[in-house]
Amino acid sequence: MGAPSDDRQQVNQASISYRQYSGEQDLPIVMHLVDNELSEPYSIFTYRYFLHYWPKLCFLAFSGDKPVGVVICKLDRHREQAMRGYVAMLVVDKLCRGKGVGSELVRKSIQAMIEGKCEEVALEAEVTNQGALKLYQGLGFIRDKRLHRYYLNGVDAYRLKLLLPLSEGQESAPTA
Amino acid sequence: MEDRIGVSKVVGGSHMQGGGASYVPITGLLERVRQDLPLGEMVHTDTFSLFEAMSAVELGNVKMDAAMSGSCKSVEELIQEGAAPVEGLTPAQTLLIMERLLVMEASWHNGAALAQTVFASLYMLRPDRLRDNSPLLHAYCEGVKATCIAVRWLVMHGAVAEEEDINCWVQGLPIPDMPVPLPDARCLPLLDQATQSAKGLALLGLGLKSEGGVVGAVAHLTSAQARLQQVMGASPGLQQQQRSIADSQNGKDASGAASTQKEGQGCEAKQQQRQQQRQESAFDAPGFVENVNKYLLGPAPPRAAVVMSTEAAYAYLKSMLGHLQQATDVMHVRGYRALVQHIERFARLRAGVVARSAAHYLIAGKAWGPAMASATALRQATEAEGAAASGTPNNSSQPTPDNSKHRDQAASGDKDGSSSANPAQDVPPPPWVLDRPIMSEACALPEAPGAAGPEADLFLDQIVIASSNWAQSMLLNSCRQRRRLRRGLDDWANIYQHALNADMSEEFVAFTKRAQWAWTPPKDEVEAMNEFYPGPLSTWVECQTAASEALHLLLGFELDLYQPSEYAMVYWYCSVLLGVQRITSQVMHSYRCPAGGASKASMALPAKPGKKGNKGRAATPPSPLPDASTARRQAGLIMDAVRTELLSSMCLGLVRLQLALKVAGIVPDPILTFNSQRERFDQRFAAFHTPPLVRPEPMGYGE
Repeated sequence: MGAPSDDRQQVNQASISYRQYSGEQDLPIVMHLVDNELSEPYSIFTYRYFLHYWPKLCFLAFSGDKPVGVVICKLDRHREQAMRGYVAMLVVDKLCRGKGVGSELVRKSIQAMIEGKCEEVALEAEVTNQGALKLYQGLGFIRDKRLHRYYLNGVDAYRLKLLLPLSEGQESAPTA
Repeated sequence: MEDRIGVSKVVGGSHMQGGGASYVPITGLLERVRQDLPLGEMVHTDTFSLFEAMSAVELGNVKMDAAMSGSCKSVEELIQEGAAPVEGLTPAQTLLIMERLLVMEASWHNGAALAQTVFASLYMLRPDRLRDNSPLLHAYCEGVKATCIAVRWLVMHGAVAEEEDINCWVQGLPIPDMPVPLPDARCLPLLDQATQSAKGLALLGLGLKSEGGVVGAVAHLTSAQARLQQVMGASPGLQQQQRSIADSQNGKDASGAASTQKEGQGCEAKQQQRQQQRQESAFDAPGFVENVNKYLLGPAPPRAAVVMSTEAAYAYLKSMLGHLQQATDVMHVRGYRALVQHIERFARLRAGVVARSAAHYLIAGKAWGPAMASATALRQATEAEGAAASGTPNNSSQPTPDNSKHRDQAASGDKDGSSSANPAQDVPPPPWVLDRPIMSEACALPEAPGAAGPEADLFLDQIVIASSNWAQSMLLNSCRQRRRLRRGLDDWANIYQHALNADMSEEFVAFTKRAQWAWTPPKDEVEAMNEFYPGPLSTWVECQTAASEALHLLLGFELDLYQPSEYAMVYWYCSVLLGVQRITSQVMHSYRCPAGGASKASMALPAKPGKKGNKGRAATPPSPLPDASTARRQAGLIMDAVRTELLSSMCLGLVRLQLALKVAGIVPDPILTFNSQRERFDQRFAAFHTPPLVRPEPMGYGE
């Protein structure tokens, strides 16, 4: 799984490495990170749903050998209209927060989505999660709507969206 | 797997018994299945989607399986262990239980599950145990149960509570779907007796009368509970005694007791700690067991029951009473404009789901159909029974010689809505209900079908639906309200086409000529599409559409959806939409449409006779005076025009302020990695472009 965390260990941006999800052997790492940090419970089915269909949209961050972050996404056609990417989970170990790890993970995932002809990216975040909101707004996401008592703990959520510019191919494609 | 394998065959047929259920180990089956699946693959169907994945529950996982938390003891086991004593309850304990039930009820209104709040009380689950030993608490529990039933009924029929959790985890609790006869005849005298017995304290008497029906009943019972609290609050001795009991149970110092509403930013751990403490203290009263109903929760993730503090609960109940009172103010409304103002004013209160449900229930047309007739008959039957039992004269407004007949009629009315023998069913809907009469008044159309042509009739039918949807949207919680206003634009876009058809129809044009509207109809369709020849009905629709769009945008500020760098473009678009409202109001005012489709010629004054000695010049007939309703309509349009002009100017001023702040570097533009300001503009106002809205014309980034 990774070396036990050392509270006194200094983590800097230069020591962080990133790579794509490579297969089943990464699943325990992903589950461990998400289960420890996020309040919403996810079953094995949820992990497999994302990682089985969109493994290339999952990125992991490591500090040396220790996994410190993960982002899990999907990309499909939304309501038979736009190709929409969705950031399902983003987790960064507490020791590595505030160092741009989360931003870099999201950046990589969005870049991969753009290569998959994504037209917009969406996600939900708790209204009280100032860190996440600042991260996504720094990447250009806007707060599209507010969802009442979205989470099991009763907290509202913001639906954040990022509209991507159309590529030349998408602009010239005939509309339905 | 090539064949269906019987479970017993695979696992060797061993079964386990426990708790009335039969358990079969399937480890062997899964081992066989595992051999056929490659690494990472799941057994799934083609329809396996994110919804199915997120809906899956891992049984036994504490984070996902609500039944895994808390005690496994049944209600009867807990009672046998003495968790809810009925003998020897002191007055202080009784008051504590009553107060805690009140707090739980308020918490339920605000999103906590009924099974985890009010019915976490063993006394509420088994109230009959109290009948002989504690009649006061028994009456109180029956009253709480009755208000819960009534509130749930009201919320279900108010149809504005889909996202709220008020109906969550109700199955299995002892509350039926229909309101039962409210036991206020038994409960309130007992409550009055309790307040009278408080030392030297006078009743404050809030003066709310029982109006009949669920709205008045909810207000009445809750006011009685609030009245009791005021009595307790005015008695320092009782308050101190109660506080010391609660503190001793919590093991806290009296000065640190009770929860607080002061939750600062960045103190999440302290907030959670306080919430945990409040949670623990909420269930420390006699008879409260936090997870007593967990067996009812089913295979679902656990939800935290957020119990309010006592102060917050009373503040909520007090405000709810006020909001219910304001909801009933709709009975004084006459006319569409007044109704819109009432709804907008009520929406701004940001009332809780109970009050909003009451407000919408009173406005919605279905509230005045068979269901209301049934409730009326049921109430009359109950009052007659109560009067007969107490030997007092019947106070019901209609004679009820045969109560059983009325009760049977009410029951049959509930089932099929066809209780023709009930005179209440023949009563027409009140004048404030969104129906054809009020909408025809809004558009100055005649109410009688066919008077302005079939296209106008179809248009009227459509705007009844659209306005009803709008009213419902306005009474949702603000998050959902904003989304529904956006989706309602599809309705308005569709209705605009109906309005154009009606404006162009021969029958409608002929009607406007008969009624002497100051509108010159277009010569042909091409001219009709010219913005300089707006039809009266399409102009009205454009005004309503612009109002919905503007409200949708302004709600974004309340929901904190905008960053400071976006304020300028949002205020700019608001100013445009308010400008559209101003212009359309002025255009409608210029048409001078008589209200109700009456002809102005019928109200013209006779010519003045000539003076003595003069031949009497041919008198010029004076301008016909408008009737009162037409004058009111015209005045309303002018007021709308002035108000929207003022608001539009304010928005433009704010745009200039934002631009100045940007130039000063105080509100810089964000650094955009993946898109530009154009995409942000398009995304922010995409809602106005997605439906085929013709008017008001959607604004592009270039403008």
